[in-house]
Amino acid sequence: MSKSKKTSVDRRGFLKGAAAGAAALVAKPQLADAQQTAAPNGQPTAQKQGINGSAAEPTQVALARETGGRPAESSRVIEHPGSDYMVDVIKSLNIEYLAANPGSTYESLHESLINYGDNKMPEFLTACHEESAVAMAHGYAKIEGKPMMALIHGDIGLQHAAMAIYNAYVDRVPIYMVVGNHSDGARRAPGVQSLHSAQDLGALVRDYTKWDDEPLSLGHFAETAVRAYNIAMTPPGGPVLIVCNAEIQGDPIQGATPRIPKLTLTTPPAGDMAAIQEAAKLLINAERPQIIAQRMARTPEGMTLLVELAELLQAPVNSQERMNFPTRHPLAGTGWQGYQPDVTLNLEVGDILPQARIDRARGAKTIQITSVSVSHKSNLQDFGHYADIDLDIGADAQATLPALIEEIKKELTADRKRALQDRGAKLVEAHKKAWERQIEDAQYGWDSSPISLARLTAELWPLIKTEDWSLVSPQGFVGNWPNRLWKFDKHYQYIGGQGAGGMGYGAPAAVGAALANRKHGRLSVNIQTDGDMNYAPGVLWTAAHHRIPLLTIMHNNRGYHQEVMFVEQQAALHNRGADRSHIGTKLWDPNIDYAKMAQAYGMHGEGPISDPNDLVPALKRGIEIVKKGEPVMIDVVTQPR
Amino acid sequence: MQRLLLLALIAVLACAQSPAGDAKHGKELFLSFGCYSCHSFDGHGGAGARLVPMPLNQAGFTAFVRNAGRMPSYSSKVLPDEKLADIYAYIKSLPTSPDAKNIPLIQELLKEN
Ligand SMILES: Cc1ncc(C[n+]2csc(CCOP(=O)(O)OP(=O)(O)O)c2C)c(N)n1
Ligand SMILES: [Mg+2]
Repeated sequence: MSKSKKTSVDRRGFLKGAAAGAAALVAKPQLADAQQTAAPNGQPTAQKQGINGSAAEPTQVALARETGGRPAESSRVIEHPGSDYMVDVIKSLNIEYLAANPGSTYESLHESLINYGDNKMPEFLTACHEESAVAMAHGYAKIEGKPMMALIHGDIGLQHAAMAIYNAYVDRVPIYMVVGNHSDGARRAPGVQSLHSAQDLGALVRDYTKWDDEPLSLGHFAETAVRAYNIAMTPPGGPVLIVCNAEIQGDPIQGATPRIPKLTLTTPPAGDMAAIQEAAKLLINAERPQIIAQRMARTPEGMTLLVELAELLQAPVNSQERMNFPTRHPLAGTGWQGYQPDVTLNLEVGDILPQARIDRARGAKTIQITSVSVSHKSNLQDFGHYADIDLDIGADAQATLPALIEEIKKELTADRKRALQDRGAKLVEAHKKAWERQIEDAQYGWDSSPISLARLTAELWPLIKTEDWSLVSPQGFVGNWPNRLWKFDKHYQYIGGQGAGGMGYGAPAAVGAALANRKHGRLSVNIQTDGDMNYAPGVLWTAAHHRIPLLTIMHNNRGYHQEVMFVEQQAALHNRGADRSHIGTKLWDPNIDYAKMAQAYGMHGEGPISDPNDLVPALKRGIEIVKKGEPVMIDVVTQPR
Repeated sequence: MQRLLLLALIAVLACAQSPAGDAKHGKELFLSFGCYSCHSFDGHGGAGARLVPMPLNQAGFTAFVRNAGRMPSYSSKVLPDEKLADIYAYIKSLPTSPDAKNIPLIQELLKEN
């Protein structure tokens, strides 16, 4: 027996096994020869072969698909494909949306989702690129706190999706990915079905996927599907992948349908009590503690806890990557001028900050709480530069804060409390000064054209502050002006950065976050860099098609500005002129017309605006349209940063 | 700040008579050498420091560019003194920003705290 035949028989064995002992329930594997399954357009629907028989030569249907010819009339109907049951399982997970670029490796599941599943929970969103699909799910999860699904086509779709998966992996964000695969070599057609399949598909992205599996039966699919959801959600969150065989999707359900397993979310790991007691002692006795929080607040509760901790300790909080701490809280920041921390508390920090390393070199104690410490992988170097840590608590920071707060409350003497209050008063004073200086700094370049990012951000504020707004874009490339000028005090008001710094994340993540914000009636604002926009601009069409309200304001500095600066640095270092640094780094000649780009994708587009006096009327018009439920893009020509 | 003062001192002690630059040519250099990319088109800062108002005299400015700190340093081979003089003249010609006191939006923001 040839290897391929044996594999095929084994697979059938699995399918039979799943059905063994059960009364025939729904399966009607074969109908009369003459019965035709024509789609409304007259094209016969996709057919699989060899379902009950042995591995066979590709059918005429399969061959016709490959050659583009008209296939022979079909002779079978599969009324209850495995993919219907898969939809039942997926529905049990309460996933609201899936984003996908279509492909035949999941065609059976595709059809079951939209017809059998009635295109609800999850609802299908058409993505023009797999990277967009996954990055949309990334943005969605950061607002909604739970995964969205990305449905991916075989090895090619997965390769397109790869960078977005890596971003989400490093950002510890749950994403639920299902990828189709023609696993059975004997049953797939020659040509693309082989080209688009893999022996171990998960291997393509396993280095930066939290967990993946390739189920071999429907029962196995169900367990994997529920398990995957739980793994994605358990801190540290991450993308998970289910490789979904075309054969299991398309073959009829044999006998009784398998059960749908129960989902119980694993509680997040909390810190060891002895370590928490030690941390409490260090923090209480610190003269100048500094809290640094990155991917800490997984939910609004995380913010509440961090405020409680900071106020208890009267310690400044440097918040990054998430809405961990209100920006105008008097303890926000890094303390007064010359504040030299003697203890740093690092909460879900990806790579200990250079300043915290300097502090430690000066004698500060470094405490770290992160669940990533207990879930490392090899190869990709996202674990960062090795850091000397004095107390390393391998636990989810948010889940550990309640015990840490309790311990501090218990140990804090009245004397110490008074000392902390004195420090707090100084910090409040320093914060007020720093805050006022930041706001006054917006004056520089106020009248400039191209428009300064401070001006852009300042002009936006009065227009959004009376709305329920949410900033769905990173801030690093816009000089952190929103953080400096706006009052952020709700968890959903900021979604943080790319995770792994992979550009092309911004536009789709904004669309995904705006999708999550839609049902809450929030005004989603995306300050969008131009380089990022151009990786996969088709996501604008997705936003327009699915009526996703989103105000996109182009931060159009006409280039990959970050890289311009890097090349200039190199030129200086090499003792050569910087006057050719635009080569390979600028996006001009011709200038890209974003208003037209928006219009081409079916949404309102305006600009380019380079006179600051034209800004407010355009922004007002844009906000009015967004409030009616549509996406808008306003092209603002900006200063580099 | 200390560094700037030191440079200013060096500059004063160094030749008091630097060649006057050509602001028009300076603008071309400011753009082609990408000074704008960190300091903005009008010198009001961004990733790099604010150049307006320029705190250094011309000699101090030249000394700084030759041996900058965080900023890339440019040698006389790459940017001879005459060219730096032109860039300096251009920076000196740039208008200052309006004062925050005269910007209603900034005043509104300050009231919010
Ligand atoms: C996938 C990917 N390719 C290239 C880079 C390198 N890179 C870092 S920043 C940047 C510039 C992005 O341009 P834009 O989004 O317009 O932001 P700007 O730097 O202009 O503010 C590039 C290309 C990257 N980080 N990710
Ligand atoms: Mg750019």
